[in-house]
Amino acid sequence: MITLRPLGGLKALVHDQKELHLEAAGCSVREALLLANIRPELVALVLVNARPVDKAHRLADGDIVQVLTVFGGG
Amino acid sequence: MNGYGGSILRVNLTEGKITRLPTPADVIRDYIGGRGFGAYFLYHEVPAHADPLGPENKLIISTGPLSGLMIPGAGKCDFSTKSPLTGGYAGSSLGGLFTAEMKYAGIDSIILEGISPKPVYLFIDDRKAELRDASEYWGKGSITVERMFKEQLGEEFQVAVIGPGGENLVSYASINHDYGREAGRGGVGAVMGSKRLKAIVLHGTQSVQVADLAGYRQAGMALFKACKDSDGLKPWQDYGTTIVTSWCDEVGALPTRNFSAGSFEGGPTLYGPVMREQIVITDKGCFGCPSPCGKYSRMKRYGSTVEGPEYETIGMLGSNLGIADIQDVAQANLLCDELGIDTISAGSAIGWAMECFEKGILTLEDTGGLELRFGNVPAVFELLQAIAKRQGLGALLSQGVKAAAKQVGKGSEKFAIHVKGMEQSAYATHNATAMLLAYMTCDVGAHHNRSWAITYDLQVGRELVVPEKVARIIWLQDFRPMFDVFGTCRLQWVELGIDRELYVPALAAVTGVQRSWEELEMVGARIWNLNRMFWIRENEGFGREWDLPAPRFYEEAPKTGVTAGQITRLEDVHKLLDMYYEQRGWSSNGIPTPATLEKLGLAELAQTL
Amino acid sequence: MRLYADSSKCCGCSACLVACSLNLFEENNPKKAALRVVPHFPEPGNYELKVCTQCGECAQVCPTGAIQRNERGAYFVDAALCDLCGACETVCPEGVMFVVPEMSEHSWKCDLCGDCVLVCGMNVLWIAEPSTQAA
Repeated sequence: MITLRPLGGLKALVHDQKELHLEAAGCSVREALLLANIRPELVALVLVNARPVDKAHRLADGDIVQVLTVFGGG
Repeated sequence: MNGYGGSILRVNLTEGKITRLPTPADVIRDYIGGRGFGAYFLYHEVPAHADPLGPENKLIISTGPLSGLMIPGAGKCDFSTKSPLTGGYAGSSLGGLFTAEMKYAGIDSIILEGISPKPVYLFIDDRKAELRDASEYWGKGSITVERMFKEQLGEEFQVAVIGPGGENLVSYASINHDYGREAGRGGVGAVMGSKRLKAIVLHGTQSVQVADLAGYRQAGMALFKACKDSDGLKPWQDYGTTIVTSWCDEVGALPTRNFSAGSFEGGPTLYGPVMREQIVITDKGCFGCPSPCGKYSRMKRYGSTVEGPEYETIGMLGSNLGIADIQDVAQANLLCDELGIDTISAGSAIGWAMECFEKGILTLEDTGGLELRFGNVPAVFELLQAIAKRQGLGALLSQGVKAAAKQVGKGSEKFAIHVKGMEQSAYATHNATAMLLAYMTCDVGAHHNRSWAITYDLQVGRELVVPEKVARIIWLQDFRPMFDVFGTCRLQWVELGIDRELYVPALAAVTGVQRSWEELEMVGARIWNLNRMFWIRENEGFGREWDLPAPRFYEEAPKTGVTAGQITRLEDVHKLLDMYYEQRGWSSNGIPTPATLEKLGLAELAQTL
Repeated sequence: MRLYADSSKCCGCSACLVACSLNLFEENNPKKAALRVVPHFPEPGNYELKVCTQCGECAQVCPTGAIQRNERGAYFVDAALCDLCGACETVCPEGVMFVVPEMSEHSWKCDLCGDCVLVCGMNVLWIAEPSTQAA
């Protein structure tokens, strides 16, 4: 089980849920996002246990995954 | 004048005369402040067809009603002028601590006019304002001169200064402040240089009155609380604008080798987390900022420090030049800052020149022996110096890519990446139609600050050309620049996602005038149309052709990266413009109709059509 | 209780200064704040915050008894008693006792209102008991 926390504007894509629990240990971040119905390309930054990783990063049981989008831009 | 400094400081450099008059109440009512003041004074005070570098052009520097107050990001200062780069309106925003200091010296706008017979600087200490001899500073770099002033006058003085780029009238020269903040775009530094004004140094100790003190403190605290409660705060503090570097690379928006592609194979060594780990030493914020995007960096290999690089600079002086090392990019950033030139336009000009060289359009003879290939870091450093001094190939590139390509010809116009003469900032738009329209219609040329829509493009469908995209761009263009009118930063709304309604009670308590966002967007639309009318007045034959993007985005699909083979059709480019003009209430040639102008309170301009 | 600052996190934004002047004087004016942000740029490239440690040396030297303790345990200036003699400013080890006759008819200092903490986005500032908090 991993915990997915969509930050900021991404919450709107998952019915304003602050946290999702997914059976995604062993999956890549990209796969976990698809499980949560979040299109990976909308995610600008991924933090796993507060450290930045790319979307190919493999998740382990108990990981906390924070994802951030950039709705406004510069 | 609650919320305002209360006066306009007019500096006639030809006569050496300085006057201070109350800020006009009708201009406050109709344009509020900041960028609104800049647009108003530019249109009404600069005579038609003035030479941008002549005595008739003016440089208007404005704070807004929220500048310098207890409001998040209240550190934005607007620099408006007729641009030597584009021949149209230029409005460039400067962060840092300058705008707050202006406010506390009781000034809403500084209007610079005329040309000084010799180099001078403007010294302001509260009510005192005078022009002083600048021969000791002329010819020196902007960081060097800022340090000299701080040592002579004290850290409490704030400094806005041009470097050699501005002195030498480089068309995209910047005005620099706080060791790394710039009013970068549109050549505002060249206009300052043309007036032989090296710097403005100022210090203010006067309190700023507000209409409803308790209401303002409550509204201000509510804004800070919203920022601090935002779950996007920490990543933004850690990485600032470089959050987007990896993502732009992933979605094909990272300018690569003069925008010939949108993904860069060397990208990963430029990404935000890499930069943070390798070079960032201090977070550096503008006035009142809870989410500082400014990153102060140390480049060990060069033994130097710089504020930055921001995402735009990483895109334009990194991937766009085929450079994949963050220290090299940061060092190029430092050179631009010290020389006083815009990193975006400089990166675009050098990218264009590199493509010319690789295609044989420019030869070793033209480059003075420089092997001007993508990725050649020493060549970039050398060219930046040459641009600022307008020597050799640098003289050609100092005019910007539109003029340089016109001069060189041989098909190089096709890959000069600009709109209206302003080099496109760091988002590749081969297949992102809303963002493409944003660049095409931006009121200063191809800049991202007024509206930005890459994520929106991805959400809706990047290649789609639909009215909703156009409506989104227009809404953003009317609304986002209002932060530049308030004298605050838009990034707390943009990136932390705080509710924009929180600004309504703050603005009302500060100024004593209640305005809803609907009314504020109307002011935004008024300014947008006024600036459009400025372009029309200043450029004979202005119309649809001026809104076209660089041909690269509709003729030449990238060969590599995630957008390989993807391109927007010219027919769709025109369709975007058709819809945009219709929704704006403009003619099919992009000219505001009299009815539109009347609706926005600009009836007197209808007679000029 | 006293105010603490971790200068290494400070981004120099100065929001704390406006919040401070609003509390002390009900005015927007960073020059009338009771803490100081000292920038060190371009080298070494950092900020230094100077805050009141409530050491009380100002109160000890005040000849008119104008510096007293409030309910938060902070030394504050009783405006009516201050005659701007400047003795307090001279002894303040942090340089955060302010005597500027052209700006205020009394001296000023931190009274531990806590507004600076509220506006600091970087969590540079906090208030704690000295016994529980190594500076």
